[in-house]
Amino acid sequence: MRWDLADEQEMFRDSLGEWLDRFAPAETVHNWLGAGDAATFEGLFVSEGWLAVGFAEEYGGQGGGLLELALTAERLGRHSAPSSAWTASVLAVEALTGLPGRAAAVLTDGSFAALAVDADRPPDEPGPVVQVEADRVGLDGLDGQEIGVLRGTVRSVLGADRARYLVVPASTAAGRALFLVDVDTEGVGIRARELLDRSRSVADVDLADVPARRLDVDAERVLAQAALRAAVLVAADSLGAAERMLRLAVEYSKQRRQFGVPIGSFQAVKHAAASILVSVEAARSIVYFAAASVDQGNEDAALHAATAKAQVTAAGEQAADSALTMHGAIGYTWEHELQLAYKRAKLNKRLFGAPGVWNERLAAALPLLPVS
Amino acid sequence: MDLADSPGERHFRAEVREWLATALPRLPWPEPADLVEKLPFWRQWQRLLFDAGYAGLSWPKEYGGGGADAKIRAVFAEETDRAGVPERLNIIGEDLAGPTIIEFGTDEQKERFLRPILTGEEIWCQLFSEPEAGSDLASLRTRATRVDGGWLLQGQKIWTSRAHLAANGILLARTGGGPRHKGITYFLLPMDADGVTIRPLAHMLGEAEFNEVFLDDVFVPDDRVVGEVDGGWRVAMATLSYERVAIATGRVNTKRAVDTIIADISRRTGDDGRPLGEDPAIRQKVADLYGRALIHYLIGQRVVTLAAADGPPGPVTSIGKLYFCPLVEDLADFRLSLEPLGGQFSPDDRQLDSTRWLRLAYQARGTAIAGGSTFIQRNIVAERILDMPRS
Repeated sequence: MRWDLADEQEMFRDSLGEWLDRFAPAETVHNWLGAGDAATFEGLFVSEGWLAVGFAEEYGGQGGGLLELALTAERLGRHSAPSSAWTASVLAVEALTGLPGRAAAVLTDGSFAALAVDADRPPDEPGPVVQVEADRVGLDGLDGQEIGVLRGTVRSVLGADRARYLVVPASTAAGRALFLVDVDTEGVGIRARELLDRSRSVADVDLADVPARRLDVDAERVLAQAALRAAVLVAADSLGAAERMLRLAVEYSKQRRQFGVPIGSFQAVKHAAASILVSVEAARSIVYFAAASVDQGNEDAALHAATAKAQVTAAGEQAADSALTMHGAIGYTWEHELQLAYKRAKLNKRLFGAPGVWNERLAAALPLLPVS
Repeated sequence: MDLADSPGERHFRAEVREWLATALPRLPWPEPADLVEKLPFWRQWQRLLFDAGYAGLSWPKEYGGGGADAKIRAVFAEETDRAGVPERLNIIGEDLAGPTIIEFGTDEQKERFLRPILTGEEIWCQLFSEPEAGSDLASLRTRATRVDGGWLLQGQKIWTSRAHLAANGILLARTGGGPRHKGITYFLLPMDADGVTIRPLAHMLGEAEFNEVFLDDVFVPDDRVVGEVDGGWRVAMATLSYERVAIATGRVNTKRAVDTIIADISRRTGDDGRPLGEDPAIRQKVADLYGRALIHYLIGQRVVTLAAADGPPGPVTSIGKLYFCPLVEDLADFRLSLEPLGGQFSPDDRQLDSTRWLRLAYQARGTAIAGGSTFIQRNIVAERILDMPRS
């Protein structure tokens, strides 16, 4: 095999990084998050065309695939940028392949979409208690579309408060299907929740007899694919957050002096930093690989994506705690930018399923049981 | 990002696989466990490798090697690992001494030493570490004193693996009075020279894998100096750098080890009579090890891709050992934990088949110390890659 990025992928990553350095520097992001303002960044991001990267041109995209999306997630994670609208749209748009015009609107004009699944579990797992049910699925007299009436609640939907469209998995008499809901439709309730990590947002979605169009896609396939993509992208976000925390901690350790020397000269501090570097490079090794594997439909893609989610987000949390200790008290303050990446890493560990959930998926795919 | 072999790699893989299928049955299996008994067995194997052109795969062709890049070498390692070939007894000769002689040696040294490494006639050992010079190699004290036509060596080396099997050793000794890294010279020492005493040293499992080597006025002629007199540090650093790719790709195929553990679990039943593979704690642990082994493999592939492109080593090159060592320890410990009493039976207790995991568990601890302990590695990573201040 050959583990490396193509030249154009490196160029893309670098130019996005430079753009973020310029338009989303730490202090600006801190102010946005303090004011609860995701829209300013989202507007800049969309108008520059970044949201269209990673999708085919027929949907208004600029080409590329999941590896480009992972590079985007890494950079967004590194800057703690408000990214729920992006992540939600990226996961939802795969369901809109039958509606290229709608997909293009999501990717290019800021009409974000969200996949209405509980962000506490993998996107292809049905929620525990309340499910959305669709009945009266049938042909609508006007344009021949299949219509269903949706009812139920979905908890903690990532980016639902930012979205114009919802892609809602609902159980029908014929199994799970996906429905497209415009949030302005009567009966749709979006109750935004406030996360500790202010760079992301979730909302509970209530659907009270909402008529919705059934999407002509294989729901199980789309959701399974969304789960793998979510796993890779959250892992990539954790990679970016860990890179940021490592850089901050190392910079601080060179400048902060105690006992007459920079604290970075103490071996305990060096070892903590070196261990984070090991995590970061290990994370990069699996995240880019898993992205390529899912994209190319490798037969072990599900194992690769699960590994990325389980390993990288767990290591990201350890890196966060280690970087915090390296900073001492200053890192524990609200004003210091470390808290943004710290909370981001914490949420990533749980987002779309904790490491234990993904490890159980891995175990289920391994031949651990006797052949009967 | 190419997940599959390139056409060249695919072709080479098929060729090696086919060759292994015919070559391995020609050996007088089983492979002896004892190192001394293992030597003739290994020599037959090395001769097969040599005749097929696979000995010194990465050496330049003009010195009898295969001229292969890092990726081809990695494919070869994967295939030999998969087929289960004899243990490599001459890693020091093939991976360290040979490349060093090729880069720094005289024509006469190349003529004399390279071919016997490839054919398996001569095994090498590494005489770098001393009782007072471990992680701090530059503090070594073995002294070489100028005499007519050469040098007299006086001192002691330690932790010398396979010294009792070796025909030659690569050795560092102090020849000048300069500061630490100056005044060190790199020698090629015939192990049968007068004044060389080898005393076996048993490791924690009670097996004599390494040795102490005492040097009492051992004469080494001038033509056994590699590089400049007093300029041996630079040569030694080159020797150690050849190890990097090999270490990063791993001396243990962790993916294969996990597969073996999974197969073992699938055949076992827990105390409750249920298949062991249903136990949630076992499932979580195996999944974690599977993921880490996959990442370890990918770290190796990154290093190999960098090396094959002749690019500078990146940060990933330096983290291989730090990622790999705790993984192998965990793998072996986990497998042992499935045995009665956690597999804590002596290697001489023949009732259990878990001895190889016991050896691996201990070997992994040795690997974490050898060639710069993981503590020292972290210092190096912090100072050289993260540019943190020296203590």
